[in-house]
Amino acid sequence: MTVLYIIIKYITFPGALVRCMWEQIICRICGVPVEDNRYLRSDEMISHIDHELMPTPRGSFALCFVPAFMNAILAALLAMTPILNLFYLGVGGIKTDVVSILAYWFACSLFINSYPLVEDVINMWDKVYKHGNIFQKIFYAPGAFFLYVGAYLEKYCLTTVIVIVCTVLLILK
Amino acid sequence: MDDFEKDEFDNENDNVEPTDDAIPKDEKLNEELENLKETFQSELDKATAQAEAEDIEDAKEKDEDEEEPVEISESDLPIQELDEITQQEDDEHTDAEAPEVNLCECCGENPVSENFGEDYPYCDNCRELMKKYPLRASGIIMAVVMVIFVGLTFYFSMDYVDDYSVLLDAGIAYDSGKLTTAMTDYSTYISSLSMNEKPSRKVINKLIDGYTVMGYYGDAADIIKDNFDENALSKPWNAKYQKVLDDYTSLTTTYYKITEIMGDVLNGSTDYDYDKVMAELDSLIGKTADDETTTESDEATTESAEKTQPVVYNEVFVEYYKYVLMSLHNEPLEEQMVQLQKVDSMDDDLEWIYLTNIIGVAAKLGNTELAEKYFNRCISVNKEDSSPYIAYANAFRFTETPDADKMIEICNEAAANVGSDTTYLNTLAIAYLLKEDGKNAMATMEQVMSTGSYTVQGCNLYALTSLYVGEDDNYGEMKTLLENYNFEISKLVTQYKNGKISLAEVLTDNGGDI
Repeated sequence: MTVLYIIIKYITFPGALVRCMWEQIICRICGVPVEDNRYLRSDEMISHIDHELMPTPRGSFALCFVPAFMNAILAALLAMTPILNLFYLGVGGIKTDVVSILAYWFACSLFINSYPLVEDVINMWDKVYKHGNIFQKIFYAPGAFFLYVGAYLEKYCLTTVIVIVCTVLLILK
Repeated sequence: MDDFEKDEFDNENDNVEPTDDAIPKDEKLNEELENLKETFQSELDKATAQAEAEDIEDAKEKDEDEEEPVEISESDLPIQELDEITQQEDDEHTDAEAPEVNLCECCGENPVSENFGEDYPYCDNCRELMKKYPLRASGIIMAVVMVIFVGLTFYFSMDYVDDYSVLLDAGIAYDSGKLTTAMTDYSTYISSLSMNEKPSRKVINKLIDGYTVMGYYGDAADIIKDNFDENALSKPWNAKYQKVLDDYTSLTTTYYKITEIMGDVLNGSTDYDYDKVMAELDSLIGKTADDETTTESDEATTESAEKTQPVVYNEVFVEYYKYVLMSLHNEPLEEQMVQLQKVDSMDDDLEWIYLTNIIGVAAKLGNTELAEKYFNRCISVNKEDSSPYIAYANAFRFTETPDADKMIEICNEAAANVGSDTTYLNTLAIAYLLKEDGKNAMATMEQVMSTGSYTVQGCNLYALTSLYVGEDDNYGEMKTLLENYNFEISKLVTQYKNGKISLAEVLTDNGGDI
C-alpha cells in the first residue's frame, strides 16, 4: 500500500507540492517548528512536511483544514472549465483541449492531495475534543469529521479511486 | 579470665559426667576435621604449585618476547603524593557518576532543550530556527502555475461563451430526448466554426449518435468525413466512426439492390410476382454486394469499405422490406406483425426503420397495449418525431368504440413535444370529428392549411371537415386544388357528400385511409 501511495503521490506531484506549501505556511503562522520540509520524499511522509504536533485546538484544526480547503478551492476553479469543455459541452479545439486536460490533471492532483496526515488528524481530534472548549467542539465538528474520514481515504489511496470513478462517469455521461 | 571465673568453669566441667556416647562423637568430629584439614591443605598445595608453574611459564614467554628486559627500579616508578592520588581518585569517581550531556541533533553543539520533554532532540536555538524554515521554491512555483492555469482556462473559455449557450441548449435537448432540436443546435454550432476550427469529439459523438438513432446515416457520414481523414479512421480509437461509415455503406448498397428488385412494387404497380420478389429478397440475406450494384453517387461512400472488405447486405433492412412487400400486398396484419417483430428481435440499431410501423400495425389490429409499448420505445429515442404519436393515436381510432378523448390527449402530448412538425394535426382533426366536435375540427384543419404545407390527405380531410360543418364551398376549392396537381378528391369524401356512407365509416373503415 505504501508503494502505491508513494507512486500516486509522485504522479500527482503538483497537488502534493502545493499542499505541503500550505501546511508549512500554517506551521509558520502558528509557530510550530518544521523538522523536515522536503515536499517529495520516498516514504509515507511524502506530500506532508515533518513538523511538531500543534499544541492548540485551533492550530491543529487549522493545520488540517486550511490546506484541504485551499486545495479544494483551487481544484474547483481548475476543474470547472475542463469538465465543461471536455466532458459536458465539448467546446473548443486542440489548444483548449490541451489546457483543459492539464488543468483537469492539476485539479485531480489537488483533490487527491487535499487531506491531512492521519497523525495530524488524530492530534486535531485529541486537541479539539479533549482540550477544546464547547464552541470549538461544535464549530469544528463538520470539518473535523470530514477531515478525519478524508485522511483515512487518502491513506488507503481511496481519494484516487474516487477521482478515477468520477472521471469515468463523466466520460460515459 | 580471672581466678574466680576459671574456678567456676573448672567446677562446672567437673560437675559434668562424661557419657558413653559423648566420647566417640568428639573423636569422630576431630577425625573429620583432621581429614578436612588435610584435604584443604593438599588442594591448596596443588593450586599453589599450579599457579607457580603458570607464573614460570608466563615469565618465560615474557622473557622470550622482550629481548632486552627492562629493569624497573624504584626510582622509575612515579612517585605521587597521597593528596594527588586522592584527588585523582576523586576526579575519576566524579567522571563516572556525572550524567551524559545530549547534544542537539541539528547543530550538534548545544545541549538539547529540556523544556519540551526528556527526549526532545533539538536545542532552543535550532528550535527557533525551525519555526522559520523557508518555504520551498517548488511549492510556490507550482501554486503560481496553478493560479495561471485557472486564469488560462477562464481566458480560453471567454471565446466560447456563445458556443456554451448553444451547446448547453443542445445538450439539454439531447438528454431530454428532443433529438431534432438537439441536432439542429449542434449543426448551428458547427456551422459557426471557422474553416480551420474543428468541433470536439464530444460534439461529433453527439451528432453521430443522434443522426444514427434518427436514421440520418447520410448526415452522420458527412460529419465523419468532414472531420476525419482515412488515416485517422484507421486508428482503433476511431473504430466507432468507421463502423458508422460501414453501416451507411451497407444500408445504401442494400437499399439500391432492394429498389432494383422491387422497384415496380414501390412505384405502386400491382403487376408483380409476389413470391418471386419475396424469394429475391430472401436471396440477399448473407450475401455480399457485387461491384455493379454500387452506383456512382455511392462510390465515394463505399470506397474505404471496399478496400478492406466486401459490403454485406444489411439483413435487417432486407427483412424490413419483406414486411413492406407484405404490407403493399395486403397480407394479413397478423403476419405483418410477426415479420416486424422478427425484425425487432434482430438488431436495435435500426429501430428508426420499423418501430413506427409496428405501432401502426398494432393500431390497425386494435391492440392498444402493444401500440403503447412500442410508442414508449419510440419516444424514449426521440420525443420530437410526430409519427409515433400519430400511429399511437390511431390505435384508439380503430378500436370497436373509438376513444376520441384519448386521441386528443395523445395529440396534445405531441403538440407539447414535436415543435414545428404539425403532421399530427390531421389526426387531431379526425379525433374531433369522431367526437362530433365540428368547430374544433374545422379550427384544427384551418391551422393545417395555414401552414401552406398541403398534402393529399390534408386536402381531403379539410374537404370532409368542411362538409361536416356545412361549408361546402371549401369542398369545391379542395377538389379544384387537387385536380390542379393531377390528383382526385377521395371517393370516400365524395360518397360522404352524397350521403352514401357515414362520417364514422369514412374515418374508421379501410384502415382510415381517407
